[in-house]
Amino acid sequence: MKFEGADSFIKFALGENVKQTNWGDMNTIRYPQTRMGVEQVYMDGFTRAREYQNKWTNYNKSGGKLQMPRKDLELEALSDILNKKLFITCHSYQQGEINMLMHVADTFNFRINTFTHILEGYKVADKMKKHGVGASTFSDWWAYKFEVIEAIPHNARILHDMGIVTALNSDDAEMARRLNQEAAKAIKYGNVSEEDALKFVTLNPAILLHIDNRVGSIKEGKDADVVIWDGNPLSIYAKVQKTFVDGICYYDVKEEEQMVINAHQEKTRLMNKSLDEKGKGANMGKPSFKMEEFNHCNNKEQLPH
Amino acid sequence: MIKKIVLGVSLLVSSSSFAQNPAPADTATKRILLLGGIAHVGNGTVIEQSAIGIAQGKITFIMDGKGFKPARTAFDTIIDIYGKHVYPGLIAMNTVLGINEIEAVRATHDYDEVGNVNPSSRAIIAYNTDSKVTPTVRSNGILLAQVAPTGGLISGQSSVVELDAWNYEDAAYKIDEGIWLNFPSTQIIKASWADSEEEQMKRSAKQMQDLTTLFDNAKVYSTTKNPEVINQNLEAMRGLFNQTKTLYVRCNFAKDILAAIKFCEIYKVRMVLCGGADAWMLADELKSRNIPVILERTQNLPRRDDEDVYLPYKLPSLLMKKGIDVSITDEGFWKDRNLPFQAGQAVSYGLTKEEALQTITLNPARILGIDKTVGSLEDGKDATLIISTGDILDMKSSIVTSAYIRGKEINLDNIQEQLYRKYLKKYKLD
Repeated sequence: MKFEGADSFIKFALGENVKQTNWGDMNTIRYPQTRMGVEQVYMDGFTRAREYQNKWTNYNKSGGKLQMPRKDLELEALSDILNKKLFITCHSYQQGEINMLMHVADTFNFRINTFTHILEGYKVADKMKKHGVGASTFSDWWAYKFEVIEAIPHNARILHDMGIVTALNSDDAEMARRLNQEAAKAIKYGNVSEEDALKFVTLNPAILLHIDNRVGSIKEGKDADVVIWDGNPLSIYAKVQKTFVDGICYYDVKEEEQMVINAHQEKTRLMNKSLDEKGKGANMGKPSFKMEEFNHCNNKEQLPH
Repeated sequence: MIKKIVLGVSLLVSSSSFAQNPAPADTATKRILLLGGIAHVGNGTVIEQSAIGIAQGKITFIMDGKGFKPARTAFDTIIDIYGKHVYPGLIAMNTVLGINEIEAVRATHDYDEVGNVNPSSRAIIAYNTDSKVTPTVRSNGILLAQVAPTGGLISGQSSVVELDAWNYEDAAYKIDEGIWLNFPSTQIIKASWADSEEEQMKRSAKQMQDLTTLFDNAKVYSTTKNPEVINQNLEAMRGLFNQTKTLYVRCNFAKDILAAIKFCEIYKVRMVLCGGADAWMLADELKSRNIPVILERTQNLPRRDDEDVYLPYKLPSLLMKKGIDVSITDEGFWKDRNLPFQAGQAVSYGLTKEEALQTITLNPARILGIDKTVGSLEDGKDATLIISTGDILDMKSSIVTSAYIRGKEINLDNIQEQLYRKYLKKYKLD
């Protein structure tokens, strides 16, 4: 499953999740609780990482005269960011925090790679362009938190028109399987061309993930990751017929239909077997329903703690 | 005098109304003719080039408009909509639109009253006509909504509202038309957050006991004309037993649906199933009792590992093909603007486009008992309709250019359009 040779990324976050705003009345004392504090956490982290790097540089130069610094994995990761070996995708919503993190990065001479969600990106699109950051946003989400009340479904269009590499994301398994439709909403709200809308969910995310030399478009020499549709993939009526990854067919709608029938038959067989056993007086457990639990961007909030 | 209006130019855009919802439209006085539009009637039929007459807020006629020569004095305004589409105003059922403004901000929550048994609490009085969300929903063609409370065992009463009003009384289309019941589930759930099997069984048994006691009391109470001591909850439930109110029953698991059907038969109440993820297993039982189903979003994942991955897309068709009245909804409130796409999703999975349209127009109207006046484009019904440049069920082409509620042209502007214009201007992209 792992994409061989791809750059490593680290997830950052800003806003209400970081501030624990929506974690309930029991979570009001862990720092940070405000956007002011969030800036300080990032400044502190990178300041310590720079000092850490200096300590190691001095130690390495000292020819064994200085004491070896203590290894700190957290600061190692932050150092990798400073050294442009690890790239940031950052969950973000409001313009102020987006602006702030770009300033933090400028201060330490690196670049934020991608702001994800970034619902107020349209308010600082000019600054984002200058910093050279990419954007990956929800197509039309809003009103679920206070920090998203000025989100607009025209966001992707403005970002794109300002020359920012723009992608669309979901943060759950349901929407992820129909991102093509989310792209189509950029046509509806932003009058984006069909070609550009499609790029929001193909080539542009590949660029943001630094894998556009391998995937994101159909081109000689690129990986054979291809989808066959029965119509324009930007239409709600389009259905996937076949999916290929590295030239291997991983999905075929005809096979899928057969698998559904097989699964139904197998379930019926097992249920009948179970009923037979029950009839013979076997000890039966209560039937239970296993609730699927999915991971998404603020998953940690949902876990018992 | 006849004024010819090219559609789109009539859009009301006022920069002075920034960050404010547009004012509700004035009472309709004009006699309007909509000429040439592709009319999707809502009952399955399509008129390719229609003529639709509107007077005093009602549809006075709808007919084939080919060669139609309007009498000059018969209309104040003739609107040329050749090539455009006309649909009935869409109806969002089972929504917290107007009673929830921001999901994560408690102060904006007016949909879930404390306590388990709240049949007397009424969503209509909490309905905020000035919600910033409503205009964003309306601009995608949703013109009516059934605002329903959630939570507890009995959540309260729902009302139908028009999405253009000064206050909740203006908005009200059908008040306190139903009571919402979260039917106790006997299905044991296994999940990291779930209680033990014993706890779950104990809880559902207790809830079932409470529910039965409540309905026994309410039934007896309903036979007493002037009770010595008035009980607000039982008063609210009177309408269930003479079937002037509907019992909306939220449940998803097959055996709970069966139990709910039996429960409603015992108390002789009119049941509408809401949720109904397993309803396809019980289609015959539902059909034989004429129980309609309000499905939650089609754009969902299957709930069991062995289920068809497209089952939620196919569910409307599986039920409609059995003759069941199906309404499709979204998850409620801001997502309601995607209602047409929830219906559109079912099209490649068994429904025709006109059938899909029906699940968000005529079927909800029938379920709500308002189909005499809304839900389709027919003579004598309210002129509550929308006009679009393309197919509204497909996001690629779903651009609503105008909307009328009882003949009043609605301002389709909203906070998001305002912000869009503000920043297009900032960046000189306009």
